[in-house]
Amino acid sequence: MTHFRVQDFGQIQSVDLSFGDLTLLVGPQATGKSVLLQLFKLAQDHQSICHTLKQHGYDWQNELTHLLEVVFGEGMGGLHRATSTVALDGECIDLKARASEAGRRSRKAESVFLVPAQRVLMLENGWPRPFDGFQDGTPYVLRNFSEQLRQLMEKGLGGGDGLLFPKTGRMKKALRDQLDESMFHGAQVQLETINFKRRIVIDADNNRLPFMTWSAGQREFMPLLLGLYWLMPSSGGSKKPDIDWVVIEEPEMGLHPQAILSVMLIALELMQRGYKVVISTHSPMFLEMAWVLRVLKEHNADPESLYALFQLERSPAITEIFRSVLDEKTLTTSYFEPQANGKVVVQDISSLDPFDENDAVADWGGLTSFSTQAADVVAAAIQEATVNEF
Amino acid sequence: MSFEAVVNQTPLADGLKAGLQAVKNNERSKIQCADTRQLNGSVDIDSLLKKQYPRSNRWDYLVGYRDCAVFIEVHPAMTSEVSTMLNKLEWLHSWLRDHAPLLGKQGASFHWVSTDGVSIPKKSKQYRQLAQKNLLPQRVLHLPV
Repeated sequence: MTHFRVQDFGQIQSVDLSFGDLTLLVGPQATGKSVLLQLFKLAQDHQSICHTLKQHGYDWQNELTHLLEVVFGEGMGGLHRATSTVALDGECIDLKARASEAGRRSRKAESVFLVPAQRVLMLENGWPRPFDGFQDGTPYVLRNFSEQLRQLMEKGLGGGDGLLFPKTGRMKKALRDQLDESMFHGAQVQLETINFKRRIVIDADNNRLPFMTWSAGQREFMPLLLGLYWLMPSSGGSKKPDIDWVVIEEPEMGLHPQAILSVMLIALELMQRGYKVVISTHSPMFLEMAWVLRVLKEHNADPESLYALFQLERSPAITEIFRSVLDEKTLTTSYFEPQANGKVVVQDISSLDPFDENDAVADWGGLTSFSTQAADVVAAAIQEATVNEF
Repeated sequence: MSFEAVVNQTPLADGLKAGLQAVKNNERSKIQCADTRQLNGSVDIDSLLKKQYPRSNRWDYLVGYRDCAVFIEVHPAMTSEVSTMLNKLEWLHSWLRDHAPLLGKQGASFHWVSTDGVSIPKKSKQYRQLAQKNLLPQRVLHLPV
């Protein structure tokens, strides 16, 4: 298990995060989840990040503050303080030293593929923006994600027929079918050329719908779909050889629960392919999945029992995913808890045990506390009415 | 071994009645049988053990169906009652272990049937607590389970 320890960085007071094969991060807005994930990428991929930035003409003059402004975005240079510490698997990372040495070493390929929460901004008129197509001050992860997908498209994703979805040879058929049912309802995603310029359109009943007419969920999901294609090579192995980590920020954005179910299944497929998946989320559905998986693992349950959860037809490929998750994979969940002083500490709530005395564990970092509270209010009202009746 | 034979080896033997006769009249409609001929009898555990365990969270009924032991508690299904139900289940498990282990092995299952409606939201921690104990409330119990 990979451990990431951070003290006094931005709003984060203290984090000692254990990453599993699937890691879920929950917590209110602005509690540092995204900052931590970007820092994790910087810790893993600083050589590649600095190399890319230099290629695009950035010069942070060996100053960490300037580098953080470029990587995390405008105004974020003060995230690191004199008291900040960062350690990956017990090894301290001297970010200041890295800022000054960066670019001198030979380039190492990126190992963290991060799908940022702002991904909807990467598509401009139905085509991924290039790295330099964003304003200065835009976080590196968004620019990099968009550039990776732009390159994927330029290399000919879509093939001769220009079909992007449903597309054989990438994700498993059962997942493709479920995505179709939950997201596209028989429509196809295609590449077309208008006025000598390519763009992605959705073809629904022979109506070719450009980007601005897509549903909010489709606009949110399309960058994720392209990212998944990037991670699921059509040939030459089940995963990208250099990529170990797939980080997806808030994959539920704009999606109906049925579509979230599809995304959860995709996360399981990514795990089976050998990626470690990290998801930050405000949706209880991901925690419900983690809770079910934990209980099933504890009871050595038959992988077949997951078919009812995911509402899928049985197939050997899906059974293998379920078996792999239940038998081989580890799951962790962490809660970013704001403190009275404005700082954030992170608790391990992986047990998700509804009987735990710690409400952060039992109510999943507050994601279900409203339901619990609502039920208590109703129960109290009924109790009072019953007493008055007699 | 038949349900009746097993019950007769336990402290519940004196309370065994035919069909659903041990179940209170106003609660009998909460238990629906696909085939009443398969009923092996019933015991009002609560009444039978009241003197012996006056302060315990006693369980309501034992019903035999196709020689399986079906333990049923008819109780208001609201979140404030979840902890009481979990205590009742714990008491019953403990009592079975100490006094009637054979019954526990008689294909035993445990069911919460609501007195009225069910008002426990599915996203609440209480609902998950019940799920983890396999004690989700039902409006009516249909036999066989």
